[in-house]
This record gives sequence, C-alpha cells and structure tokens, in this order.
Amino acid sequence: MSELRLGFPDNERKADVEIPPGTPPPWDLSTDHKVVGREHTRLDAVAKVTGRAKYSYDIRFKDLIYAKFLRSPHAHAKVKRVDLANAKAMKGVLYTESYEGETVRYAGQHVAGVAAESEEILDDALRAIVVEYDVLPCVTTVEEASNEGAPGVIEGRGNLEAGREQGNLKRVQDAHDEADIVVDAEYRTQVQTHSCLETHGSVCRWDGGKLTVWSSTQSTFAVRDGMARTFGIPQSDVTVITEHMGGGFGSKFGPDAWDQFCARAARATQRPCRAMLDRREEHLAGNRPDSIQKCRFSVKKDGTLMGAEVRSQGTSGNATGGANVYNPGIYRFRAAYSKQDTVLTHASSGRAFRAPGHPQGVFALEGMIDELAEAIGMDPLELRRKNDPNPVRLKEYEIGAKEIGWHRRKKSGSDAGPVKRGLGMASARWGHNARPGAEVRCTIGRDGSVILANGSQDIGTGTRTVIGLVGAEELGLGLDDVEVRLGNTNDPYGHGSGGSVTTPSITPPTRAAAFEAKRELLRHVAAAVGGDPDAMDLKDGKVTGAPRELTFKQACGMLAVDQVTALGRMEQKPGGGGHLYPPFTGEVAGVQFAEVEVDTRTGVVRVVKVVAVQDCGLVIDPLTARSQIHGGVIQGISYALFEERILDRRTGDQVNADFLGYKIAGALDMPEIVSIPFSVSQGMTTTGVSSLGEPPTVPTSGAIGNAVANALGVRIRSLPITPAKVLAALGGVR
Amino acid sequence: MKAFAYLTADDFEAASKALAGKGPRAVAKAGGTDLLTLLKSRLLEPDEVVNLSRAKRGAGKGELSALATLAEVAADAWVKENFPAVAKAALEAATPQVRNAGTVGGNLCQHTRCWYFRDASYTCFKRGTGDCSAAPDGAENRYHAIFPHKRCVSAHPSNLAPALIAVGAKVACVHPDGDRTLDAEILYDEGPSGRRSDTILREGELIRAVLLEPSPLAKRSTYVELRERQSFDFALASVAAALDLDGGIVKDVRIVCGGVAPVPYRATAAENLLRGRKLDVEAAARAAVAGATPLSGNGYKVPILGELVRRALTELSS
Amino acid sequence: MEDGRIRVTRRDVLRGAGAAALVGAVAAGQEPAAPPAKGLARVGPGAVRVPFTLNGAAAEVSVEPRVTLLDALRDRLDLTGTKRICDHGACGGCTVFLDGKPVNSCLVLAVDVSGREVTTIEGLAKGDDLHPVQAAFVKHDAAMCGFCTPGMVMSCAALLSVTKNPTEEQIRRAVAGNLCRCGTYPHVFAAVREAGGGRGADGGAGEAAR
Ligand SMILES: Cc1cc2nc3c(=O)[nH]c(=O)nc-3n(C[C@H](O)[C@H](O)[C@H](O)COP(=O)(O)OP(=O)(O)OC[C@H]3O[C@@H](n4cnc5c(N)ncnc54)[C@H](O)[C@@H]3O)c2cc1C
Ligand code: FES
Ligand code: FES
Repeated sequence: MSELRLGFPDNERKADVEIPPGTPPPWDLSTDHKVVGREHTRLDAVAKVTGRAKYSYDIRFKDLIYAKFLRSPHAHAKVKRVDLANAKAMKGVLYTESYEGETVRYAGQHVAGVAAESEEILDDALRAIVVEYDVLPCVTTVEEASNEGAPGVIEGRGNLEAGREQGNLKRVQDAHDEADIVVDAEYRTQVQTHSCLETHGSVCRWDGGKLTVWSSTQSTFAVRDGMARTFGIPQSDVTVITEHMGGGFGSKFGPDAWDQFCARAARATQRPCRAMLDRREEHLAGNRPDSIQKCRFSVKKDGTLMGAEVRSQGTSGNATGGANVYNPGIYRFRAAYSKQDTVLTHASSGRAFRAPGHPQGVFALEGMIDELAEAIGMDPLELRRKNDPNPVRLKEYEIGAKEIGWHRRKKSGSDAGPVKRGLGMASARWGHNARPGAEVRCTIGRDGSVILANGSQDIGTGTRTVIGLVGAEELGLGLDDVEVRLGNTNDPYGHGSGGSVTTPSITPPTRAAAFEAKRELLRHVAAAVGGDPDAMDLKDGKVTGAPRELTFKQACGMLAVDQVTALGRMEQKPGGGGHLYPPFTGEVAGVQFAEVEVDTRTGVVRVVKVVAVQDCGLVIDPLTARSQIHGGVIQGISYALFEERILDRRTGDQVNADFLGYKIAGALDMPEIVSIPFSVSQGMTTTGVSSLGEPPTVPTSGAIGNAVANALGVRIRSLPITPAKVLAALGGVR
Repeated sequence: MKAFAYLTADDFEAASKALAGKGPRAVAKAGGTDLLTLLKSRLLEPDEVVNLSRAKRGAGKGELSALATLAEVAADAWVKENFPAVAKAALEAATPQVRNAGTVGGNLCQHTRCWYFRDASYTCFKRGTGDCSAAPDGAENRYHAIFPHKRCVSAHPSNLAPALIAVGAKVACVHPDGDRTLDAEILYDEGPSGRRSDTILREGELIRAVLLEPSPLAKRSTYVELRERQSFDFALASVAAALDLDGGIVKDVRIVCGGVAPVPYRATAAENLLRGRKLDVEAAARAAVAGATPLSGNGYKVPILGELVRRALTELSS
Repeated sequence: MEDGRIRVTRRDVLRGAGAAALVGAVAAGQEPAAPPAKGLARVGPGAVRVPFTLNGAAAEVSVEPRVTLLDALRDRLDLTGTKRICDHGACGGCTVFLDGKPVNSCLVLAVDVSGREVTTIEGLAKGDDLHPVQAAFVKHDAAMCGFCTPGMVMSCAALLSVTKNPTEEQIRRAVAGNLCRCGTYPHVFAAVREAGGGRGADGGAGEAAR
C-alpha cells in the first residue's frame, strides 16, 4: 500500500493505493519534479518562427496537381445537369467529377470537382463548368424551419429532431413553487465558424497501391482508417502524416469529401494532388451551432438555487443532432430539467467546436445565475459560492476575485458613464478525459539518444513538447536530450485531439514507455557493473543507486543490445479496467472574471481585463498552459463580441464567408489577460494530468455578458454583443 | 483570376489612352489591394490590366500623387499640419500592410464592400445585373446605408473621400479627350437617377493627383470613425469635419460622412444650421441624422453617426 | 539569370523615375499580342519571366501576370513559409517585405516585383542565427499552431526596423493586420517588447514608424 496525496495544498486528500508492479509510481503532491512543471519553450518553436515548419498546405512535389470542388450557390436544389465539356477540353485539366442528380442541402455543397496542372487552370476550369439547378425553397433559421409546411431538409423526415430530455419536470416545478423568486428569460447564441487559419484539406500521393496523405487533421488515425475504407485497401497501405497543423478546434476529424476526392484524383492521374479549401469553403466546413434557450430558474431569498428549467433549440444545419447546450449545469440545483432539440435547416452542418455546447450553454446559464442574484439582491459571486459543489472552483473564486478586484463591483447600472464600467464572472466545468488506448514508443540508443514516438498530431496545443517533458522527467534528462517524433501513422496509435483528451491520455503512455525503457536500461547496467537494478534510478543525467558513478550516456554505452525499445500504454485497473487510482474530483474546474467598458453613445464594448483561473490537473508546463488559457479566453472574447455567421435568409448563402465580414478578434481588441493555471493533483492515472484544451474558452462570453449587464443595468441576452444590440437595449434606436 | 495581358504605363496619359474605349475589357491597377480581390472573385474579368504603379508620379507642389500610399499620406508632415482630417483618415484605414500598398487614387475609386455587390450570384444595380439585393425584406443590411439611394443601398467604403471633401480638395484627372480638375465632391455625384459606377470618371479617365490648398477650414479639420472591431474593419460610420471659427461664430463648416450612403454624404442641413451662428454641437448632431431612412437592419447607425458628428465638432471647437 | 535582370535601387522605385526601364518582366515564349503602344510595356497573358531580388539574392520566376506574389513564392519557388490564409488581404499571413515594407503578398502580382526587393520569412534569420523577433517569439511562446506566425514575425520585424523601443500601443498597431486564431497576441506583445529592448517611451512616430 502506498499513499497518494491528491488535491492542492489548501485542500489535500490522502488515498491508500496499490501500485501495480512494473508501473511507475503515480505523480502526486509529494513528487519533486525536475522538468515537469517548469517553463520550457516548445520543441517546434524554431521551426514555426522561421517558416521551416511544413504544414499539409506546404507539401510540394515537382509533379503536384491541384484539385477543388465547384459549389452550389443555392441552399436547396436538385442538380439537374453538370456540363463539364468546356472544362474537360482545357489543356491541363486532368480529372473531373460530377454530382449530377444529387440534392443540394446547403449553399456551398459541392456539385462538381476538377483537378488540374496548376491553380490557374483549375480556376479557369471551374469557371467553365455549367450547372443547371432545380432551385427549391429553403429554410435557414430555427423559426422558419419549424413553421408548419416548411420545406423539409432531409426527405421523409421532419425538420425537428426532438432531442435529449433530462431531469424530472415535475420536481422542477415543485422547486419553483417552493422558491421565492422565479425568473424567465430567453438567451440566444449565434453560429460561430472555426476559422482555422490553415484551411482543411490534404495532399495525397499514391505509390502503386499505397496511399500517403499529408492531412491537416486532428486525427491522423481517423484519416488513415477512413481512407482505407474509402478505397477498400488495408490500413497498412495508408500512411497519414501531420507534422504541423494550423488549427482545427474540433472541425478536422476527416477524411472529408474533399480529401477523398483529392485521393481519387491522385489515383486517377498517378500524380500527387493537393486539395486545400479556400477561406470561403472553410467557413462552410463546420461550425458551432446556434441556440435559443428558454430558461426558467428559481431561487430562495437566502440564495439557495431551486429549479432550473431549460428548453433549447438550435440548428446544426443539415446535420441531425449536435445542437445541444450545456445548460443547466455546474451548480447544485434542487432540481433541474432540460429539453434540447436540433432543428434541420438548409445550412452547412455543425461540427464539434472547442467544448461543444458549453460556451453557448454557459452564456445563458451564467446570465441566469446573475439574474437570480440581482433579483434577490445578493452578490453574484456569493450566490455561486453558496451553490458550487467543486472544491477547486471555490478556491479559484478566491484567487480570481482578488486578481480582478471584485470588491470594486458596483450596483448594476450605477456607473455614471457615458462610458460605463462593469464586472462579471462565469465558470466552467469539464470532464477529466483520460482515455486508454494510446501508445508511445520509447527508444534509448547506445549513444544515449532517446526517441519518443507517437503517430498522432500536435494541433498547436504543445503535445510534442508535453511528450518530451514527461519522457525527460522519467529518464532524469532535460527536454533537449530527447527527440519526439509525432504525426505519422506508422508510429504507435494516438487518439484524435478532441474532447481535450490528448494531454491526459498521452502522458501516462509516455511515462510508461520511458519507465519501461529505463528499467531495461538499468538491467543492462546491473549486468555490466553489478548492483540491484530495482534499486537504481535515473536522476539529473546520472544513474543513482549503482555501485559506481555513471552518467546516463555511460549507462547507455553498457547496453548489450543496439538499443532498448519499450511500448507504453495507459495502465488500467486489472480485470474490469477503469482508472488505476481514485480521482480528486474527476473533473476540471475553471473560473473567469471580466471587466468591460461600454460606451453608451456608440454601443461599443471594450473588454478591459480578463482573469482566468483554470484547473488542468498537474500542470506540465506553465508557459504553454498559459498560452492555452489565453487562447481560450481570446476565442471567447471574439465569440462574445464579434463573430457571427450571417446567412442571407432568402438564399441560405453565407454573405460574410471571409475575414472581413466574419470578424475575429485582433491585436487591438485584446484586453489585459491574466491566465492562472491552477495545478491540482487529480490522481486517476500515473501522471494526474487533466484536460486543458477546451475549458478555458467556455466561461468567457458569460463573464463578458454579465459584465456588460453590470455596466449598463440592462442585460443583452444575445451573442455577439454588438453596438447594434447595445444601442437597442438602451432604447436609442428608432 | 482570368488570364490577362499586363500593360505597364510610363505615365497616366499612356495608361488612360490604353484604357479608354475598352469598357470592362481593360482595368487600371494602382496598389491592387482592391482590384485583386475583385479579379479573384471574377467580378471583373478583363483582358488587360493596366498597371499605374510605375507611372511617373508627377505631383507638383500642393499636390498629392494619386500613387502616394495611404501610409505615406498618414505620415506626411505637410498633410498632417494643414489637412489633419486627411492624415487621420489615412491612418485609420485598413491594416499596416494594406496602407503600404493601397494608394490615394485606388482608395478614392475602390468598390463598395456590399456583400451582394461582391457576389456575382446576386442581382445588383451597381453591377448592372438587376435590382439591389440589399434593400428587400430578408436582406442582410446591417452595414449598409442609412441614407440609401432608391436604387442602391450600399455604403461608401473610402476613408479618404469624406476627408478630402471636407478639406475642399480637388482631383486632377487625365483622359485622352481632355484633362480636367474636379471638386472631390463632384467625383461622387449620384445624379438624379443613381449611377452604377463608383465615380463620375469617364471610361479610362484616371486620377493623377489630389490638389490640396491650405485654408483655415482645412487646418481645423478632423476625421473620426467607429469600428465594430478595433483591429481593422470598415467603419460603421465615419465623419470628416472642417470648421472655420471666428470668435465662436462659425464662418464655414463642412461635415462629410462615410459608410452611411452609397457615396460620401454631406450633412448639408447640419452645415447650414451652423453657418453664421454660434457653434451648437448638439443641434448639428441632430440635424445631421434628421433625414436618415435606415434599412431593416441598420437603425443603430443613426445614433452612431450623431455621436461621431458630436465628437468631431467637439474636438474642433476645443 | 543574372544577365536578364535590371538593377534598380529602392529609391528609384519610390520616385517612380524611369518607369519603363523598371519593367524587367519579359514575355516568355509567346508572341506579343499587339505592337506596344507608346509609354506602355505589354506582357502576358502567357508566362512572363520576372527577375527580382529575393532574400538578398538574384531570383527569377516565370509566371502568368495573373499569378500573385504569394502563389509564385509558394508554388513556384517552394518558399512555403509565407502562408495563404484568406487570400484577400484580411489576415496578414502572407506578409512579406516589398522594398523593405510589409505588404500582403496575396494582393501583389508577381509581375509587379520585377526589379524590386522581396524579403520573406525564410530570409529573416541569418542561417541559424534567429532575428531578435524570432528568438523572442520562441522564448515567449508566441507560436501555438504557428500558422499565423511567419506573417506575425514579419510585421513585428518591420516595426523594429524603424522603431527601436516600441510602446505596447505601437506594437498592437503594427500587428493589427495579422489575425491569430489560437490567440497568441499577448505573447506576441511580450516578445516584441523584449526584442525591442524593453518597454520604451512613445516616440510619437506613429504611422511613420510603419
Ligand atoms: C483588409 C482590408 C481592409 C480595408 N479597410 C479599409 C478601410 O477601413 N478604409 C478604407 O478606406 N479602405 C479600406 N480598405 C480598402 C483599401 O484602402 C483600398 O483597397 C486601397 O486604398 C485601394 O488602393 P489601391 O491602390 O490598392 O487600388 P487598386 O486596387 O489598384 O484599385 C482600386 C480601384 O481603383 C481604380 N483606380 C486605382 N487608381 C486609380 C486612379 N489613379 N485613377 C482612377 N482609378 C483608379 C482601379 O481601377 C480599381 O477599380 C481595406 C482593404 C482591405 C484589403
Ligand atoms: S493571405 Fe494575404 S492577407 Fe490573408
Ligand atoms: S498560432 Fe495558430 S493562428 Fe496564430
């Protein structure tokens, strides 16, 4: 039996655990890390700042050809005829596809495809294609699509996909009855597009029957398996490479239609082919669905949260399902109920987007919490404290409130103006998403070189560096002493980067691999110099517990084989599986505070400061963790104030599918941001590392919404909070 | 982009000659920052592009070459000193990269950012393909005009145009049928029935230079705009104002607004109200927006425009 | 390729003097469409040889006039550090220096750089010696996915080439045309502050600084 120290210094809990033999002792509060937990620069930073990093978009071959789809301007139509004759007649046009006879369900759906010698020829060829459509009526909003007699999006299916129903409505109604105050309000959030700076797509090359795909993806293995299925070839004949990747945020788990088309064109021409989307297409390649959330919440005068009742509808375009929101949640309600529908529309389909359902749900949920606090005259922070079951968040409230200066918060609407200041806050809750199945290979060479290899990808979250740090820690080395190979499916399996699973799931296998390789190395050392290998370890570049002083390099020189290799996995409980160790809370907690300035004459909201306190289990590298939190906050600000997919209701066409009309936050929109990674010994795995990719973007819009309401004394229940909405709320618009 | 022949002109005269009589088959390019976006989306498919960027600048004293970049205008000491509205308008435009390439002539002649204008699949009065798509029910017109024309409700995009009109600038134009000098304001004259093209320039006619004459009015001028996003954004509305005050009495005033009408909008009612009286900022702000007829989605621009007029005049009166 | 190149200094270009002489672009393997008119040099629509200075060395590319500098760099010259992100001037990912000034290469025609100087991200470091901005980006973790980074670095390097000790405001304005979806901005500001030699006083140079 060993003792595992969980939690954080102010709130420690001990657990007696059994450490299975052959596994590294779990990291906890007592662990004295040498590399982990300290600031390091990314392993690929130099490649990125010099432009040497090769993204899929950058893969070039002498005989590369280019492929692209022609897309429908209509949202709902039958493709009557596709005339490719002119395109085919052009010199340099090498391959075409037609989707004649198909039904178009969103403006931008592909109707034909061309591959050509150059992008210029490709452009000419696409222009030369003649398509005849039977244009049909379309519906683009939840309201329109729900109307009696509205045109259906998918044949033989109503537009309303009655979704998840959770909780007991009767109990909620009882709670309302018992409450002192009941508040009804409707919140709305917009459609947000991923706007990954590297668009989706790939470069495909066939060598005989074998396919190599350089893919801009969050899941190399999903692309491999999907391509193998598409072409009916064994997975072993497909290699997917993603060395660097320019952002995905949930939208790139392909292979997508354009990737498959690219591979077909490459096969037909026996030439490497590139199909990368343009910006307009990228805006159509996925989005965060919108939402209309009708909320009825109740509270007692003493601040006891009573009933939470939410009916939400949203559209995921022509995709069924996916418009669920995370509301209610986080806080302890006496009773909660939600019913969530997805409504089909003639629009491009939603996709997972950084914490799917959470930012939209939390914007409404946290708005409602503030409305309740307002109604009973209680400080909103106090109300949250009273009803929050998570010990980590309770501590984070303290840290965040101090940093933002919460005591300065005035009564809502009381700032003199005309530029009014306000403070607001919101929280996030996320799962501890460590998933078994990923593997890491650790190889130690006789010259002391160390390679850690995994076939998954680094989407900008620093996975490469994290693997390096964890491996180096286990081997008593520095980050510079290990080489990390990532992004090639010929290396061991790794999960897709979604659900914030990557870091919690990849660190235990990394440790296991390094641990096992280390044990093997030390056995060779013992064979050479004597001593008990089990009493030996590697620390600070040296062997400890050996009969004589040995550096790591000298130890490696004693290998009786060329190299040792170990494959590490996330250890599971023997028998039934499940995590090896108990959790502290089993979830991830975050809190954000925002200070805003609203110009009541122009309606412009300026975010002055955001404080983000975010738990992520054990912090592997505070520098990259801060980057991740900053990034989440910045996307949240952008979502709160600027971003919105605008569809023309008559045509279903996105009129702002670019970077001028679709506005993402830039340098001059940045507030002061204080990101505080909060380290918690979370247990469960050998590393106790938890999720960080998604949670920091969850509370930002809620905190800003609450700060704006605090400034104005009027609440804007719709995102984005634009000058138009602020002025309308203030009654200044005729 | 459709393939085109590329003609580089030594001077504006040669360029104008090359363009005249060719209609849409030939277009002029200065910095290319607007033109290339239109060529890429194939809204324009000329056979010839006539490059002005290496033409002799030939701007004399008191002139701003049409080829001066926005960055050069913003940094120019003479402009800053004598025509602050112009320098400020240039500084507030676009991004550093665009300001390094975009020119005065191109900025004045750039095309509207109306998203229906910029998508060939919609009908558009300006493009001559039918009725305006931004006006009817169901249109998305949040960034459009609050002083719309009957036939076009687009918003004028240029930062420089209102500023140049406010300081009384003229434009020197070159054409094979004869050169001429126009008031900057005349450049955008809509006429009684609306005009398709963005300016009144004749086919092939080019702006060679902007003529600036220092005056007390021009010296006391400013430019303010309001953006939804601060980093870069076309203004929701902008106001260039120039004021000649004589002991608290308004001798002369110009208030010119961008982003609120298909062309730069001269707030004549407000100017008339102010001229010859004590400066009354509030009354001017009210008068400036009095005639506004916003569309379904842009009523919010009315108070914003009023506020910008207030800000501009307040700044000039202190 | 050295022989076909017409040398000009940057100052000549800025003055616009001797414009005809500057037109180094030569139609490659195609007949002139019409006898050139007076004061006009005509090339294309077929491929045109474009001689220019690229990262300090003589270079040449053969492209149709409709090809942008960005596409010429990436798809003809294999310089893929410069990114194509929006292709419409609205993200800054394609930022290069043209005669020393940052511009969006997606809005410049390749024929137009004939006889001029182009610097790309690949030309910023001297071998393994990083430009101070690059070194500071590494240190401050100013690159996450890294896709916006080359353009961001170019805008920052341009700022420091004219403004020694930029203020935070000057830094923000210098990168106002560079979008980053991962949200590295605060790290970029910190990096440039350091590369610029610490937090400086506002020199009042404003726009002229760019
Ligand atoms: C991201 C972005 C943001 C922007 N934001 C703003 C903004 O906030 N405010 C603003 O004002 N502008 C803005 N712009 C537009 C920009 O300022 C213009 O594109 C630029 O000024 C045009 O100059 P140019 O030399 O590149 O013109 P070009 O693209 O070369 O030409 C534009 C048009 O003008 C014509 N033309 C050019 N020169 C002459 C001449 N001398 N005589 C007659 N016709 C001529 C051309 O034929 C063409 O039709 C923005 C642009 C971008 C890409
Ligand atoms: S790619 Fe040129 S600015 Fe976006
Ligand atoms: S680092 Fe990913 S876009 Fe800037």
